[in-house]
Amino acid sequence: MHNLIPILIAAVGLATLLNVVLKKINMPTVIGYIFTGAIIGTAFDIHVHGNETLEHIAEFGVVFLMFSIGLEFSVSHLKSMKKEVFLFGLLEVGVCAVVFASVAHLAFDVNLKAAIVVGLGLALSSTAIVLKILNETGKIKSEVGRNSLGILIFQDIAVIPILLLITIFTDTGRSLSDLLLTTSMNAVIALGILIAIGKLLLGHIFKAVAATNSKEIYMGSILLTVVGASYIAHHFGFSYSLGGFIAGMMIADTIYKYQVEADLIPFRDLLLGVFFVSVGLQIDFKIVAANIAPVVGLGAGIILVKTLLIFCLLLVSSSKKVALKSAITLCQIGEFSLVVFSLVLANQMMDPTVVQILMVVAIISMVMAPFLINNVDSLTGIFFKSKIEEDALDQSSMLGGHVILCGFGSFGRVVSDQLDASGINHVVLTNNTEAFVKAKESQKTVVFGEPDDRDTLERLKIREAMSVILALDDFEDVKKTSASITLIDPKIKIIAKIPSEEERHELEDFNHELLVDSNQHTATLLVDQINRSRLLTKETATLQYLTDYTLDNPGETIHKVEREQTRLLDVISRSFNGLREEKDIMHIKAFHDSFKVLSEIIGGVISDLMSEASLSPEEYERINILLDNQHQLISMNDTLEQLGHELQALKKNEKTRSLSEMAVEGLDTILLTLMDIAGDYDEDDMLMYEGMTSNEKGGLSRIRESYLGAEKDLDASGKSLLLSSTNHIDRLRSLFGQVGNNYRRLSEGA
Amino acid sequence: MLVENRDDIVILAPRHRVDTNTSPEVEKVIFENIGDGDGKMVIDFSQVDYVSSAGLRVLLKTAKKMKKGGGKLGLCNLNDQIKEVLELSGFLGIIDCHESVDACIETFA
Repeated sequence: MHNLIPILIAAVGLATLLNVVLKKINMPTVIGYIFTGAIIGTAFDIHVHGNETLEHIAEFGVVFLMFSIGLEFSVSHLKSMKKEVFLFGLLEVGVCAVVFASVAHLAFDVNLKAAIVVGLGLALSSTAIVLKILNETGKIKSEVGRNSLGILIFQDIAVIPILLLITIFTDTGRSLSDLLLTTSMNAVIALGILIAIGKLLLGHIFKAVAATNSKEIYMGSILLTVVGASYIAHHFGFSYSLGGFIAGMMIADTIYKYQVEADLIPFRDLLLGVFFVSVGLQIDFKIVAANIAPVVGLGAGIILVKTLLIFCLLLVSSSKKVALKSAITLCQIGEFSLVVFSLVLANQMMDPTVVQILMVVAIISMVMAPFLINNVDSLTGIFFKSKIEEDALDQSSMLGGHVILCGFGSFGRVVSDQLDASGINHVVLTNNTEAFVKAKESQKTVVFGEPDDRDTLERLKIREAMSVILALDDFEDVKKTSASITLIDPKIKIIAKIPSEEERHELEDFNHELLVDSNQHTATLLVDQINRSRLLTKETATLQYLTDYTLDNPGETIHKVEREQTRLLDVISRSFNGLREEKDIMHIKAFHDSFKVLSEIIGGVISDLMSEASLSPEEYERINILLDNQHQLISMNDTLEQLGHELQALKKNEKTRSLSEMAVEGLDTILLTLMDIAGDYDEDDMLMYEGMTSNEKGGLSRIRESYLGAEKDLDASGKSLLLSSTNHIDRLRSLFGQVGNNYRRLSEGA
Repeated sequence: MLVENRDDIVILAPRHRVDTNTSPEVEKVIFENIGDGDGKMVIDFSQVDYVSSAGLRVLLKTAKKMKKGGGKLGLCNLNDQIKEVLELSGFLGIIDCHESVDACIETFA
């Protein structure tokens, strides 16, 4: 063999050059690889046949492709596509094989066995080319994509019986029943091993690997899975690709699907590149030149017949336009056909020149496939007038106008909930297993994968997204993800949370629509809240009676103090309402602050009256009562502030929620009665009130016993909270009683 | 609200919740049946789930009127939550509570 290095350099250089040019005219890279193979093969006189290393490398490209297809096909997905896979697929392979085999046998006089094998081979299409293009163009989820995918999957499964059939036709030493029995047993054993490993071990292995947080170990485990599964399948007589497909299906049901897919793509694409180069290497220009007429005739005939047959079959359930698009997409001959033809050649089932011609036709059809698929709309337009509605319908199943939310930590969760509340369709992308499980439990649309992985972002249709929100805790991740998004398309708008203003300049190169500095934003919200609270404090603390007073008329000023002091009870009552209506703590705090401001002013006036005014003994007694009242009310406010926190904590515990609610209602009733007494004293009210506030019957002892007993089963902190809160309630009732008594004394002196 | 007269005793049975919304109606029925507050009244809570501070205020007014008129008032069939709120508001110190209507009536004898 030639020195490998110059060939590699020439191949990689040529493939890069060709693909750069082809990408400019929107052609898929497949063409570039095939042409690279054809040119390099001719220039260096390399042939893939007989070169086992090259054949294996190329085959593993298909293995990885089948693995990534398997990733899309969890058992549940396969069930949801049973019509496309098992009905359309079976019909396509069956009808095409019958037609091609009949033509070969009857018109070209090929023996029946070889005609059947060739017919089946020609029925197959190129999974590698079609799926690659459908994935690249995002059409995989359209109706054409579903039809094509379903049929291709069936074809890939059908490869196994086709290869078996060749063995049956050529193996004269063993009976058919023996062969079928051996193959069935092998299939059961191989599937059993693969499914057992997949169901029992794979999830645990990937969980352990993901926990190491090492990309290197992750890649190694993926390679082991794919190559291991392929080897097991091959060991039992099946293709490497089938093993890859089953391994993919096993991972499809785990949360690691997207991450595995993203990590695998570089391998898959590189190995597929080698596969397509090997396809190009098989183009023997000498045979093409010598048999130009049969090659063109057969090629055109096979493509036209196959298109027509698939079109007719799909008309059963699809529109004419979709059926024709699907038929054009699948009209080429596939890579597995090359494997089938190679075996026909090796087993001398047909004239070698005819097989060579068929192989060249297959390769040329594969070369043409990207051109046909890329221009499928214009080709269909020749036969059917374009209907915009139908196209729109085709696109409706695709994600679009959505938001991609990267990260599902505490901030990401809040963002996601708010997007839900606003009815904005969004998909969460996270690389954290715990966050992924949380998102799943919250019924979110969530994908497990690296936020900075371009393939994952492309799969989430980032170009069609309304916006991308980066709610990532680590700033390095924000930078990496911003860079990946900018590489995909610099026009994509990004909204990101940054830790502080200092990091803002590091993101200047990217297209950020909004950078939210979490510190600044939180500070703004806090100050806003405090401002609201301050306004409320100001409003409630505004004096009503003591706006002007004089020490020269102490009787009138004392009366004003009494009235203003009664307002303190009103402020306390409003804080009770805050508790009842579950207002936030800042709202309730505003009332406690109001109380403090108002009571300070009242206390100042009382102090002025006592120290500077000339008071009669009655007035002195009255102001003394008001001073005591002032102390009791301040204690009441302080106790209530502490109790408020405790009641909110009790409310969070299912076992003590009712007590918290009943405490608010019960204490509010006492307070309202006190306000009646303070506003318009009535001895009958006072007698009732005395009964309510006396602790003669043991206070809250019954409640304590009931909650601290075994029945409620409170933990230590719950018990401590209960004791503290009931003590505060007892204290409040006692203070209520003392204040009520002061109003009785005031009324007696009036 | 169900109203039953058993001899000279009025038995009232409010339903569901006695709160801000329903307490005006409860108060109206009670005061239609209370007279001068010198009679005997049983309020049966067997069909009541919840009593708020507004409901407690109605009970307080009733208790005040009965006390002033020299009548007798008893509450019965209280669920745990209502017992709790009566205890927290100190009502157990001013109104008698019993297990059943009959037990309540017995104390009036």
